[in-house]
Amino acid sequence: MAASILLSPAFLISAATTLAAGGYAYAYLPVQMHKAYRQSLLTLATAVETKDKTSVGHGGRVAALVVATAKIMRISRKQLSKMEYAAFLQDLGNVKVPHGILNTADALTHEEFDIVKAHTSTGADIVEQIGFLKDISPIIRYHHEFWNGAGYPDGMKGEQIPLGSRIIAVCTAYDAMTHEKSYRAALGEDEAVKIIRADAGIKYDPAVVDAFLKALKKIAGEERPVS
Amino acid sequence: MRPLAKAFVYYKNLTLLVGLAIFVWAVAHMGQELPHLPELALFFLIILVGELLPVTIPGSNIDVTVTIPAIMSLFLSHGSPAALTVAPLSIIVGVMIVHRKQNFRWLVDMSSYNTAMCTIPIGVASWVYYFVGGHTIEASPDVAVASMFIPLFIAIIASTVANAIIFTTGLSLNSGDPWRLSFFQSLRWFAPNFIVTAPSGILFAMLYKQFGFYGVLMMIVPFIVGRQALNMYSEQMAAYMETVTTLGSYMQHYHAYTKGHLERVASMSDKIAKQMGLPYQSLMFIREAGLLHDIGKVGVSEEILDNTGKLSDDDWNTIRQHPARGAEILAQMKHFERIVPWVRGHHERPDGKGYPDGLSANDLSIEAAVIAVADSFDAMVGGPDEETQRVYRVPKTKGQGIDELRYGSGTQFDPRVVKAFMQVMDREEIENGRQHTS
Repeated sequence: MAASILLSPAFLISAATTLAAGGYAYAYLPVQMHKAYRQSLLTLATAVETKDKTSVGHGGRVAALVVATAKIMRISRKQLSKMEYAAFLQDLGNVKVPHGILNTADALTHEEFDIVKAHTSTGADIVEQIGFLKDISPIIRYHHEFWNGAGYPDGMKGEQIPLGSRIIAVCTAYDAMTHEKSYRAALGEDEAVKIIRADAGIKYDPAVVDAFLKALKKIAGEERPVS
Repeated sequence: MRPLAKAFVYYKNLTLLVGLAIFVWAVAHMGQELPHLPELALFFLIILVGELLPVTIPGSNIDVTVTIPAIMSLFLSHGSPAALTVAPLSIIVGVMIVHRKQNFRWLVDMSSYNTAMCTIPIGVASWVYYFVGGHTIEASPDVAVASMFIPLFIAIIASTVANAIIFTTGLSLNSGDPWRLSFFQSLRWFAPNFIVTAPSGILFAMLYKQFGFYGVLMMIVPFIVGRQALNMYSEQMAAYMETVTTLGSYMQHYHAYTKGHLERVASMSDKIAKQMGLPYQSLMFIREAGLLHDIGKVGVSEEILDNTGKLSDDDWNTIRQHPARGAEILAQMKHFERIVPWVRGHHERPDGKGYPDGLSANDLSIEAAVIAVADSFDAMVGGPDEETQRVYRVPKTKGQGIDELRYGSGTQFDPRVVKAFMQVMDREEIENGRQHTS
């Protein structure tokens, strides 16, 4: 008798629907929320990018490369999403860099270049004050450091530089080179790869460059499926 | 507190009367359920627990309780007189416990009104359920799905509509909100909750019929799990909104005068909106809107924003586009949709001479008008420190700022908002005076 009521359609349908409702609340809603959060961060980052017309979309594109590279390097999901957010917001500090400097086609003076360099710390300082974004502050602060210590702001070297920053450094350079800037035309993809490969071990972490090149190949493979 | 509108008082008493009539009818028909008193007591406790552990849906003032499935299963297993006796009693006790700190008269008033508001939809549901051919559950395996699900869903829809009507009518009589708008809004909130919980109501009723006391215990687990899930969702939503709003406002701090300005506009808008008794949904988001109203300026060149001389037509156009640009940005951010028109409209004027759309008073949201007043006043008067004042004009005194608002009331500013602003200022004056003398 007990078994038969548990097998009755009313019971089964009710149980299934209850489970579905629970699954919706537990699995679906948080995923939607996460998507909304991610989208909002990207939107705010893009708002800053409009200051320099040639950089609109840069953060989003770099983030896609960062995620692809980080996946090749088998980085945990949690770290990966931090790196993605940091890539979105890497140039947040440009809010403090005057419009004229960002858009000039002329060579920057020493002072102007210092102002540009400060965007790393400005951006890091902003997110540092926000509880849920605090973690990504160092990734933003050091995304212009070089593997050999010749970068900015602190001249950090090798593995002292957070891994996220090392990955962003490669991806951001590639994206910048392959897109037009106010002071130069876009380079071809092969050209950009050549330059990045040459700078492995100098500007960039060689392991990251390896993974990045693999990621590029993988992306190219996905874009041009075997016919 | 504001005195209640007369119509609302009548409405409240009518609701109470109908609720009471249903309750009396139910008690009078309780006869055959009397032997089941211990089980009914158990249901009383479960509903009570549900009432005491509500979860507020993020961004609204609606509490979701796990009460609904419990009442449903009570109704399905013991019939409507039992449900209509036990549920109101349990809810009234629950409301009293939750608000026990309030004064007694208010407590009796509030809890009886709330209870009546719940009793009527339950009454409607049970009447509709029987009317379309539903019957209470039996401990037999041949319960046809159709005989339970379809009537139950029809009953739930009827009850949801009844609930929304009662709720909205009270709300609009009390606050003067347009009825139709609030009705669909509250329907949108109530409906998913009712419909999602219906199957669990049936499930619990069957478990209870089959396993008695242990069946009831089995109900409690999903209750707790569901509550946990909703709580988690609320917290995440709050954290997300908070993070994004803060980031959006910090991004703007690098214009010397913006820091502080945004905070002051947000807090003044909040005070004005409260003074005006704007709907809860507006109060929830007015702070966010105050902090983000100028987000469209991010990306505009500093040379234009800080220009002390005369602007060229092009530059002036760029400036006039910032509310629209801000609205575009916010439109892409989920859960911020509500404030999009407020931000877009914060430089509009009731006489139609504002920008970017030149809307006139009727097409303008009241929240936009609130932000416009708070923004203009702060732009004129500024904060306490000199460095936060604007480069392009000499700051005015508080008195001068108030005069400007009064002067522009009806043309540049919404008169209702200006009036509320004055009331807020007067009150603060009095409060400050009190602090000085004490």
